[in-house]
Amino acid sequence: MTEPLIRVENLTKHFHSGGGFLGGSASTVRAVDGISFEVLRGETLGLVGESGSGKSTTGRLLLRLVEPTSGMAYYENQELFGLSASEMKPLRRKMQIVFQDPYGSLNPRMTVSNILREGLEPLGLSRTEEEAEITRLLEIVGLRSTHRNRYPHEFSGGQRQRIGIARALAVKPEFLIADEPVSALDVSIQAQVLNLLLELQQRLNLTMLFIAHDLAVVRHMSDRIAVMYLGKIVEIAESGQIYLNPRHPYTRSLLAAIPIPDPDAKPAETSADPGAQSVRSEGCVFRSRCSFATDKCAQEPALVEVEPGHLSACHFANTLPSL
Amino acid sequence: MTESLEAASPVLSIRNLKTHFFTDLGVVPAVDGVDLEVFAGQTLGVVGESGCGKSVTGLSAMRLVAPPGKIVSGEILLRDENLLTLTEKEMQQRRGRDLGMIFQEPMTSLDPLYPVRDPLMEALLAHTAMTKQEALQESIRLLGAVGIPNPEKRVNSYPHELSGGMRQRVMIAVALSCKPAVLIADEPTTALDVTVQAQILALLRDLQKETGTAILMITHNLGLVAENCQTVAVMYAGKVVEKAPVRTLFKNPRHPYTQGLLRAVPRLDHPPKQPLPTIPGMVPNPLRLPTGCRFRSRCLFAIDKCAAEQPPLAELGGGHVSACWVQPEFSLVPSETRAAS
Ligand SMILES: Nc1ncnc2c1ncn2[C@@H]1O[C@H](COP(=O)(O)OP(=O)(O)OP(=O)(O)O)[C@@H](O)[C@H]1O
Ligand SMILES: Nc1ncnc2c1ncn2[C@@H]1O[C@H](COP(=O)(O)OP(=O)(O)OP(=O)(O)O)[C@@H](O)[C@H]1O
Ligand SMILES: [Mg+2]
Ligand SMILES: [Mg+2]
Repeated sequence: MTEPLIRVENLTKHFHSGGGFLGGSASTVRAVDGISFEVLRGETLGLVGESGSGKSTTGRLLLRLVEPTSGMAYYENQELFGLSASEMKPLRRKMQIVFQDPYGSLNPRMTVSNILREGLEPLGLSRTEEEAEITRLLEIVGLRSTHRNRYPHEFSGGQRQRIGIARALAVKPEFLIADEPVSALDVSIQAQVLNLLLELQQRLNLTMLFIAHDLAVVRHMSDRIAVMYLGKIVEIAESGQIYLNPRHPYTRSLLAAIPIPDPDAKPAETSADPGAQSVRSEGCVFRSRCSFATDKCAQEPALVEVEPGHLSACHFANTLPSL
Repeated sequence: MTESLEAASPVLSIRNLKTHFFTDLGVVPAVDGVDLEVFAGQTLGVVGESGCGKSVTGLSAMRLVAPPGKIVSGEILLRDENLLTLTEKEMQQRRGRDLGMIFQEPMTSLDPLYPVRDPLMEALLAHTAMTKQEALQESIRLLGAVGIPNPEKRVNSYPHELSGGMRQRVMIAVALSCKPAVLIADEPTTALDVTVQAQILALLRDLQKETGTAILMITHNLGLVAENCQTVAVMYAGKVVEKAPVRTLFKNPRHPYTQGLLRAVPRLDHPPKQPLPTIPGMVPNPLRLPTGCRFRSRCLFAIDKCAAEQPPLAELGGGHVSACWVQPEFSLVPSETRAAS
């Protein structure tokens, strides 16, 4: 049995935003609301879910780019949130993130080679080794060696994303958080990057938290998948099970909405009322959008095992009709 | 159906557009002779390799290309008016009202210093007769329509307080606010979960039905193309290499690049964690484009003629054109013999 590399317990992050214009009251966004999960060494845990459900925040919390409101996270057996900045430093190298927004995360005043050099710095390479490594990294992500002297704004969206990936890979991390690493890429480059991540994973036993909206991509990459909705994990299972036997109504509506790359296929379903979504009410987070909801759902369902290794937070997990 | 469409005249036509970047290292012909037409009530999908010039095409239509980029030739016709002959002031009046754009990068296109109500109200106040109060109410309504929860509160949020997908929806709301005749949607839903994506596309279809908006949709998501576009153009290295009605493009693509794209899509029935088919090699360096076909160094079908002469877009019938000397037949699984040779 592989042991977990990452263990998260009851992790919570609340953002407070002040009231403002029109006398709006100060409000709290429960971005991450008491989630627990593990990522085993060498595995990929896919993280999917509604936009704004806390996926990026979860990734940023693990890297301590934002501080949690409460909860614990362990890297191997080291609790992360209690570490001082200097204790955190060696871990920062082992954990890397590819950001969702490639432009915002690349310094516009630095050339590509300087961006990568920054990543390579901790490795203490000689100048020639560094140059060779930069060439290698660019090649890995499908960029030209001559691109090194260009600035981020001279690249297309997809090319920038590849620079971000090259930077994350520079320090040879053990744990990679990939926050929508391929959503800006065309499918052929996407295939190259996905193949690359799979290959690196095999070769270096890389552990990944893979955040994405494209469910076919997540399925392709992940061993297990966690589904988030409004700050909570509502379902988690081995990835085949998520697709074949989803046990949460939100997961089912996600699967029904996948656009199929075939004009003859049945079009994706649109759930009725977009305005109704994500209104937090007492009880189950998905209640206001759920077609299976009953009075019972005023009580919050716990995330419980419905079959070995398959957890769902739905009172009706066992009685939902099959897909 | 196709015949009647061809009879109608396009709302937006891009004719032989060339937009080049004059960099220190040389001229990058990012868009190099592109022809596209978008009809009222229809959606044209534009797909293609990252960096092939899709966004620059869209930005050119809006006349928003920044130096060192420059539109060097061609026409952008909004109905009969060539936008390239307008003054900047006239062009500003067209933007937002006649031509809307959803930009690819929501973070950089929203000003971090202003709450999201500002760009929305600004667009509405500039192009409609609304009062401030009405514009605010309409802004809230629009945020609700793109599926942002608590729009009354969120209208006061700053961009950094929103998730990636929420920012993208704010941009969509801004672009839709004045019901433009032409909407250029550059990767409009990449940051959204598929249920919200489906809602946004339904919203676009409703707008299209209501006001006949012509949509130019730039996307990497071939699922979205299959479901939402009537016609698809495939770009490679600054050129349109294939264009066809959607079904033809998916079932009978004749350009080897299009064929490679379709094979590279991860499908739910692919064996997980196994390598996906890719297109070998890299796009050519735009500063040193090869002679002949720009795809030839990556093409399994290339013949001598491909190096000698650039293939023109050849008519294949039924609105299908493809720029290839070979025009190979397609199957989703690449043939063994080809792969081995
Ligand atoms: N710095 C911040 N200040 C206030 N609220 C924030 C901040 N960062 C995130 N949030 C809020 O936290 C929630 C979760 O955001 P997060 O970015 O984690 O979502 P996500 O699941 O990654 O969404 P997406 O798929 O759209 O990227 C959202 O409601 C967002 O508005
Ligand atoms: N300011 C600039 N200076 C030099 N070259 C540029 C500049 N802006 C864009 N380019 C080049 O123009 C080409 C086309 O870029 P564009 O953004 O249109 O690509 P795209 O097809 O939208 O790609 P993606 O799918 O990645 O968004 C790219 O090769 C890019 O490097
Ligand atoms: Mg995110
Ligand atoms: Mg682009």
